[in-house]
Amino acid sequence: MPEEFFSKEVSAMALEYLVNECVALSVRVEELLASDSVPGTLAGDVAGLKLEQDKPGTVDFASNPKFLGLNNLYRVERYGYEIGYKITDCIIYKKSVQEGVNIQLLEVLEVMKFICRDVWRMFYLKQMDNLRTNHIGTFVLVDNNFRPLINVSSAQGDADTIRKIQPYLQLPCGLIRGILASLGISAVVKADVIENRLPAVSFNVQTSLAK
Amino acid sequence: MPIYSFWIYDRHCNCIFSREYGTGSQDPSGNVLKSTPKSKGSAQFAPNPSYENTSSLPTSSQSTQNSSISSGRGQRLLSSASNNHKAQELIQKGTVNAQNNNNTSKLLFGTLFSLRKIAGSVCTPQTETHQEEEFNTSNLNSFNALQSFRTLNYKCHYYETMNGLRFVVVTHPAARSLQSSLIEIYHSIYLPTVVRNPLMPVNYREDEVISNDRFVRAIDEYWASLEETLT
Amino acid sequence: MLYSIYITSRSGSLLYQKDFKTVNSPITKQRSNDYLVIASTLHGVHAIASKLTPPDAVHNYQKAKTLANSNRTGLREVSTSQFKIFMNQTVTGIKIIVFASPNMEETKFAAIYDKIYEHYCNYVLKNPFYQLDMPIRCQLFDTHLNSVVAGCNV
Repeated sequence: MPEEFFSKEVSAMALEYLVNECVALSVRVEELLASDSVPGTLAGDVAGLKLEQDKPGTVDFASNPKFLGLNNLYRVERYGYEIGYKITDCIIYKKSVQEGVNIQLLEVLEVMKFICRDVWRMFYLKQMDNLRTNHIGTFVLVDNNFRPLINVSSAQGDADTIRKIQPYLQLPCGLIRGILASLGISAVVKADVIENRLPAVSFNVQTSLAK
Repeated sequence: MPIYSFWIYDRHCNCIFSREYGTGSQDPSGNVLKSTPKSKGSAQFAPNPSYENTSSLPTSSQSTQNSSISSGRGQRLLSSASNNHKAQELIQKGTVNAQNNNNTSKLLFGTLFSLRKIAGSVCTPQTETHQEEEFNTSNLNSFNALQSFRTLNYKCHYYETMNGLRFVVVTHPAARSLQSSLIEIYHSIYLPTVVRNPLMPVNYREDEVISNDRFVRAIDEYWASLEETLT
Repeated sequence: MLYSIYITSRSGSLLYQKDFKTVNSPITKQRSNDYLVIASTLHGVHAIASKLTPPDAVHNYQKAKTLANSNRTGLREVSTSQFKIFMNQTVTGIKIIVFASPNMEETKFAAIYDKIYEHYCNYVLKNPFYQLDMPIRCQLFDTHLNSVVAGCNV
């Protein structure tokens, strides 16, 4: 595997904008699917990828009811799932071949530590701050300063902010679920902002490995 | 040394943020403010169309109108502002986004627009015959930017970004040049809280303003910290 | 350094305009019409700036060190990256506007203003051939103004 697989040549800011745009695009796709524009024709599709009065630079997509709709949340989660499912091998390769660390991912707890440490460091340039488990399959992963949320705040106050960041939290949820799935663990992942501590997020992972 | 007001205009010439810092004497709601705490998020600050037709001079009748707005706002900021007593004193007075569409805002913009045009045109050679302008870097270097204007009563500092966003602050006439402060606000407040915030627009339509809590708080704290060292 | 001098009448029309050939002057030649536009714009902005006074700031002029003359609330100084514009108004409403280098101080401008005003009185108003509120074409005024500028631009 060529070395440049893990070279850091992408601007973090550009990538952040691209990821955020995924959410906006997803809402627009949703709107397109709901509209009665003729599918299949390019002109119809492009025209449909536009919300009512959608001007560049505005955030109208966030006030669209479909923004928080389940379809949208699932779609964004699915993006994360696909990424996670595929990238696991690459990260394991990096750890084991490039860094010479022999990692064992047999235990669920080991997998969780792998996510907290290696996956998080790769995606968000820092480790998770806390990992808790009840030893019957539920894990709580806490990031006290979740990078994508550092600058997020809605014009309508904190309550609205917490509501509107749900779609943005679906991507890391899917990511965790995808990585677990690729390692043979099926799980349900839910993310919540820790109350009144905005960039702090807790990920609740419910694995089906009940002992 | 007081700071009187702070304004941001976008490149479509709309005022997207206005913040007025009044002295306590003109704000009769100052006491009400402390006794009736309002829940966070209850107050929304969209521009109120009723302010459009108020008189051109910032008279006392207007400031009483504005004070009704400041009552909710002040409390909200107060609860989250730093413990700095001075900062709180400054923050709980005045109005946020109450003046965006009134005559003061428009006159201020018009004044700056005219002066900016003079500053630019006087330094660009005007030939009697109209010639195609050629782009070259020397043109860019000779670009002349308006920085401030002053009367005996106040001084108005101006900074325009490359993409036409304009930051304006009105202070006491003896204040030093605040160009660097306006640039700092652009870099360290506007960029992170608005541009890098996926829930804030960067392109404002008419009557849309920056009413983001975090932004307003950061601006208030910035000016409060600067008040002492203004000369 | 002094770059240009403008004198406008009380109604904002341009009475006198001269760009001085100064080393490094950023000011370039304009169309004759542009000078009229600049003068009347400054005249208008001078009045608007007075209207823009914040309610808390209306008494600041009383503490100002410089002579207010009849320009208590109007525009006095504009700073740009390449030059400053100073303006003052006589009691009769004549405005004397000076374009100067950014390092010019207000106190220095006050002295220049006094000299210009003095020459205006001596060589324009006392000139029997000068009609009030018409463009100033007096050679004596020109030469004296030149000496003021030369003294300032040494």
